[in-house]
This record gives sequence, C-alpha cells and structure tokens, in this order.
Amino acid sequence: MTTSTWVVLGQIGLLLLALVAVHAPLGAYMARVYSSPRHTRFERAWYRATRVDPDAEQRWTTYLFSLLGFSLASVLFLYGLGRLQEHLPWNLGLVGLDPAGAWNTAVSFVTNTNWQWYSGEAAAGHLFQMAGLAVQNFVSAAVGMAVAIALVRGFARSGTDARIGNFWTDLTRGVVRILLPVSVVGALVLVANGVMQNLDPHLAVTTLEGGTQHLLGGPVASQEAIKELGTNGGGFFNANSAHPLENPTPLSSLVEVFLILVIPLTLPRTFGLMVGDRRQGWAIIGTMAGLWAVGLALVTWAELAGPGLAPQAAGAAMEGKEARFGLAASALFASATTGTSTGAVNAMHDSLTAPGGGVVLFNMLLGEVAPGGVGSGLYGMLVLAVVAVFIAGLMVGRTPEYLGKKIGRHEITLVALYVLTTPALVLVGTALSVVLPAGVAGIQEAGPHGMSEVLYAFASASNNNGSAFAGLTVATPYYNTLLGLAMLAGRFVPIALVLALAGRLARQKAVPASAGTLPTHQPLFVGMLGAVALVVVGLTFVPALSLGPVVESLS
Amino acid sequence: MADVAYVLLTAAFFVAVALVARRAAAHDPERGGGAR
Repeated sequence: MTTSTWVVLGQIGLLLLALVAVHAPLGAYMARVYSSPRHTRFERAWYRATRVDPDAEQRWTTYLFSLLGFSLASVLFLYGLGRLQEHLPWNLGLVGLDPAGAWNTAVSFVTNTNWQWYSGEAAAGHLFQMAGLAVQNFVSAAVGMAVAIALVRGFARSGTDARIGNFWTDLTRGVVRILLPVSVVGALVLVANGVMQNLDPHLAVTTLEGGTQHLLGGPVASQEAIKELGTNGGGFFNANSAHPLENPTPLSSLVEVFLILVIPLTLPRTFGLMVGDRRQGWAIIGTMAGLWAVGLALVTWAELAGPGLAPQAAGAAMEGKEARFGLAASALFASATTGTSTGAVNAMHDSLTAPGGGVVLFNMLLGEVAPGGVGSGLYGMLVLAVVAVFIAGLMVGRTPEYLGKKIGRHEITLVALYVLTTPALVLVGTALSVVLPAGVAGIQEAGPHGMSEVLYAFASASNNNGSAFAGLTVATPYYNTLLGLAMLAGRFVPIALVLALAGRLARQKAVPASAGTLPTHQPLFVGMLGAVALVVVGLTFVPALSLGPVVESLS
Repeated sequence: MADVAYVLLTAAFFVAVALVARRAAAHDPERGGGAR
C-alpha cells in the first residue's frame, strides 16, 4: 500500500476509536440529561430569573411558539449587534455591517447554518464574535437537539395530550450540561495543539523578509470548539479551518473532525435508550454511518485519483488543499463537514475534483442526515424512517407503523411536506439565480462549474450547512436576502413539521408489535432506509446535478 | 429604511410559520377540529 493509503486508514482508525470510546457513555449521559426531573442549582436560578416553569410540559404548538419566539428575538438581537458594531466596544475599529449583510449573518447563525458572505477578520470585532456569533453557536445547536428530543418523546410517549417536553428546559440543559462542558474540553485540547486563544487586537510582526504583517488575535480556540461541536461552521477567519491559527496541525484537524461527528453519531444511541430499544438506535446509526462512509470513500478516491496532468504529476489533486494536512485529511474533513450540517472547511471545496465536489454536494442534498447536524440529523433520519415504513406498508398492504405508532394520512402528510420543503428551496433558488440578472452577475465561471457554484450555495443555505464552494460572489443584497430566506425556511418550516409530527405521535396509544409488524432494527430496514434516502434525493436532484458536476466530469 | 424592511421581513416570516401551525393544530380532526 502507498503512504497515502496508510495515512487514510490511520486517521480513520484513530477517529473511529475515539468515536466508539465515547459513544455509549455520552449517549447514555444525554438520555439522562433530557429525561431527568432534577434541575441543577444554576438552572433553578436561571429559570427563576427568566420566569420559566421548567416542569410545565408543553403541547407541540406551545413548544413551537417558544422556539420561534426565541429565534425571532435572536435574529433581531444579532442584526442590531452587527449594524451597531462601530458604536460598541471591542470592535477593532471595524464599522457596522450593511443591512443585507447584517441580516444574512444574523439569520445564518440563528439557523445553525453559519454561511459567511464576509471575512471574519475584516468584518467582525471581538464583541460581535463572542456576544453574538459564539452565543448563537451554542443556542442554535441546542435548539436542534431540543427538536430531535421532542420527536423522540413523541415516539416514546403514549396517549398523552400531545405534550412533548418543555422547550426552555431542553434548551438550557442542552447548552449547560452538554455543549458547554464538551466545548471547554475541546477548546483546551485545541489550545494544546497551538490554536490561538487571547483577546488581542491586531499584532504587528516582522516577517522573514523584513516586512511588517498585522496578525489578528482573538478567542479562536473557544469559538473553534463549539463551531465544530455544534455543527455550526462559521470561522473566526475567512479561510476557516484552513487557517493556521484556527487549525494548525494534522492532529488539530482530526480533533475538529471528531468534534463535528461526535454528537450527530451519538444522538441515535440517546434515541434508542429513550424509546426503550437500543437496537432502534443501532439501525439509525448504521444507516447514517453507512451513507457517510460511502461518501468518504468516494471523495478520497476522487481526490487521490484526480484526473488531469497536474494532479497525476503531483500524485493527487492538491489544488486548494493545505499542504500541512495533505489530501487524506482534506477529504475526511470535507466529508465530515458536508455529511453533518457544519460547513467548516480545511480545504477549498471549489478546488475539489468534479466527482469529489459532486459527492460533497450530494452529502448536503441528502438533507443532512448522514449523520447530519446536531439534532437535525436525527430528526431528519427519523422522518425518512417514517417514509421507509410507509413504503414497506404499501408493499404488503398493512397500515404502516414505526415504534408502535401508526403512520396514517396526517402523519405522512407532515412527512411529505418535510421531504419537499428543502428541495423546493434549493431548486427554486438556483433556478431564479441562473436566470435573473442579479443572480447571474455573481457567477464567476461560465458553464457547468458556474451552475455547480449556484446549486451548492442554495443546497448549503437551505440545508443549513453553510460551507461555500467559492467562486460565487454572494456579498450582494440579492444573494444575502435570497440565501437568508432559504436559510430561514430551510430551518424553521421543517422544525414546525417535525414538532407537529411529534405532537400527533405523542397523542397516539402505542400498539404492541405483532407478527406482521416490520422489524425496524434489522439490516433489511437499514438497507431500506438508506435506499429511501438515496432515491428521494436521486429523483429530486439528478436533473440539477446533471447540469453541474456530472456534465463537468464528462467534459 | 432598509433596517425596517429587514426587521419586518423577519417578523413576518416567524409570524407566518406560527399562524400556519396554529391553524393546522386547530384543524386537527383528532382534537375536534377540521373542515366540515
């Protein structure tokens, strides 16, 4: 085997070991966090200060209204912070963002997308980064986890009055008991690896050639940890995790990939424990991991075998990759960041080979379910599981059921709307942008690559990923507004549908499994679930993908 | 002016989602609602 192959296998082995080591304890811990009737002293004080009754169970509508109200307030607060930056302390001399840019940024971070039209070091001061963006990194991730847990309660509860928990309690516990402690440990590990952590403004340093260069200091490690752990992805610097002060070594890169994957791949265990059947969690994680592994293998192969004279001479497609990471770590990072809804990058995705770029695009178009964002990955995969049992029920002529809950007309209507929402946003947004002059003006490359750039942007925004293909000028009112709308609708419409589904399921009385019940914990169901995900995406996006990466590969 | 437009756009989106959800809940036949 070549050195590259050993590097690929070595880093994947290390990553797997780390993920397996924390899987059971973290999964059980999260199940306890969301099931425990006890509140910590800090939480009780927080609830008293905010006048929240943490033990009041909410119907799905109240849960949704709480979530929407919190998110609306978050968008408006972040918008104000961005617009008023020049009047606030710790602004590093930077002016406020323009209205379209401030709105896009506010929406982007509240929806857990973290799409960045701006360069962090040139547009965001320390206060905006810490009090605005970093806070949203925590709470937007906790919102996603809360929705996933609400849906799990819908499956686990039987015959209730559509009550699925308390949004404020779930939000607080997600931040205080899960994201904060793991982020602190992650930040310390990153600092030990050389990631910067200070509150310095610009520092003038003398270069080797005797010139002067200004380096921006800042709280990078603390933001980096939650950026990856919360599958947020918004970088302190424009180059994101390709920047040496965000991600200095191959080891720090592997730590960041671990942080990206750890919660999405552990929440299925929490799900299995909460519904009282760990095998159900294994089926979900098997599907997620299987789809992700296939994508990783394809990206790695595509970049190692890079077509063209220059890649063949270099031994791999190294354009746009960081030499200190090498190709294997870049392919792994690209697969992790697009398979989850993270969007951080340690290599430029615009420079991936056409098939490699097609695979990371496909990862997002899957709907961010393999393994998906924190929370959103689990609820997205559970929605697909409902589709899978529905199709299986149609095949054998039985009323479909999943985890003892019947999937009737109303349930499948909600699921169908969920499945259609994101593709509609991606395809309509892309179609408008390749036709309208304001959209065409931003496309830098003619032909299929330009099409891929636009498709990637709307796939990234609508699926709340946030990674950019580059090559598309998005710092315009047109793209900032349209992509902002795609992010909003791509986040909150599916959340509303999931909570409505959770409410309906919680109200149902669970029926015991019979001889005719489809087993949903066996390899057959894992295969069905994976096939459903691929077929849904295939039927929806093949025409658009054909005009972009497929044509480019063939030309 | 642009600030007002973006604030209104944001508020309109969230209110619209909430209103549709409330309407859907009210029309849920299992809760006694639904078009008759």
